[in-house]
Amino acid sequence: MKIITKLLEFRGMARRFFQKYQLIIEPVFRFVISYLAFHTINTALAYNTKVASPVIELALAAVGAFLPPVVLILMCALLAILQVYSASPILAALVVVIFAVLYCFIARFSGQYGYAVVAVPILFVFKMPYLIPLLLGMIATPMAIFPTVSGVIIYFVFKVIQEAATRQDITSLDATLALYIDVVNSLFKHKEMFITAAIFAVVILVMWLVRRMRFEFVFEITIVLGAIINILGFLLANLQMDINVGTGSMILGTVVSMLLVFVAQFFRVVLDYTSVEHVQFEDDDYYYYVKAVPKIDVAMLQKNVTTFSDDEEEPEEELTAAEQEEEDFDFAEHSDEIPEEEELTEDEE
Amino acid sequence: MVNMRKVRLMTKLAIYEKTEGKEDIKLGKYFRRDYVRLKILHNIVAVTIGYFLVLAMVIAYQMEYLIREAVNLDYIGMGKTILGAYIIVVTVYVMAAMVGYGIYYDYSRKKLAKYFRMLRLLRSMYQEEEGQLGLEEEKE
Repeated sequence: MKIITKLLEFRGMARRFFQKYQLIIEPVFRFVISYLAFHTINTALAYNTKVASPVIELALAAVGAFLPPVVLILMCALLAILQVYSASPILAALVVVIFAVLYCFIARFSGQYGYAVVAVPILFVFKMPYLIPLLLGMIATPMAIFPTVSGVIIYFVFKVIQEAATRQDITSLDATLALYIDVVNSLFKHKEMFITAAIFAVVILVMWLVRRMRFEFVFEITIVLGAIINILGFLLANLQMDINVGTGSMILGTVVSMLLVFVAQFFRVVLDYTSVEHVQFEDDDYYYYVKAVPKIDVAMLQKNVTTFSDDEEEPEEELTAAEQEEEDFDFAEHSDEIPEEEELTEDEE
Repeated sequence: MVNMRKVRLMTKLAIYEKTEGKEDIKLGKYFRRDYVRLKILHNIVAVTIGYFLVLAMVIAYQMEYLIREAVNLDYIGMGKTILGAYIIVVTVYVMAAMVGYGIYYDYSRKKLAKYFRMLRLLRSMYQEEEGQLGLEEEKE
């Protein structure tokens, strides 16, 4: 019990720290992520030494730190295309077309989980792509399947491009068709791509379904279940389809990812409830500059199942209707309620 | 004097307007049917572009065969297959968009309903305040 108390204290400290330095920590965090992304791309596709300089990477990361995820994804895509272009304009054109198709059919639906499109290929390099489905299974909706699958496809596209770039004839126009056919063939030869995408999709979907149920330790069970599905899926694929996924590194990667998700889940309350909002508004008498600090609710961490029987009456605190409404008001939490019959017109100001 | 209840309410409203409310308020300007139709249109455009790109890739991949057999190809049959596949793909996306964006719209509308209710509450507070002011003035 002592360890748990210590951990809870530590979490409280982390939360206060985040609240205090949020304005600094967030950009720094995004800077590190952006730098990691650009550096990985430059290492994996090191065809243009000019672009691959640390100065440019740092400058790009500095820009990426202050811009929304969409721009970061776009910058990553442009950098990758530029690198491939230095090796072979033909391959670069092919990458552009594949990106366009991917965007039209899948990546368009990424929404707020767009980071996954970049995170999956990068984590593949570190042999840890399992982290993304396990994490998104805990926090996201099934819509997160789209960016995750896009990320998997992008990783394998670049893997094939890397292989193709070692060929001799990649710059001659005469060999364009042969090169193209070769790239497509080897892309479809990578069965791991389809299997990985499918397993990740199943993991996210199942975790989302289980997470919404109501029983004790539901979050912990969901994470373990996601990891088990992942491991079993890849083991089964290894046996049945004769594909090449290193079993040892897969299991190790999944277990480490699972542990990281456990840590993330424990600290989730820090991230979810630390976002201090600074808002400005006015009325007839004053200008208001409000710093709104969310109150923490430890009960949010764990779903508790309580059963009420009919003959027990719960004493309830009496609140006036207006106060009750103010107390209850939370857009996200209460959105699944049935709305009252109301006219929603623009003139209701 | 600053009315704390009012400030709390206005803060909640301001935070909502600043974060998720931005999208909800934009979306609230559409009727459900218009919004879903617009999204379906976006989908059709994107899927059409994507489909033609894939088609171009397939044609490029089969280029040698197509040129070799250019004389004896069943062009009508091919056209039918291409069109059929296109219709199937578009139908799937349109159906998914109809369901998906419909759900999204309803979800967003529910949040917006709360927002309007809060606005009404704020207005009643104003009226209350004005009423009190009026009473005080009458006394004087």
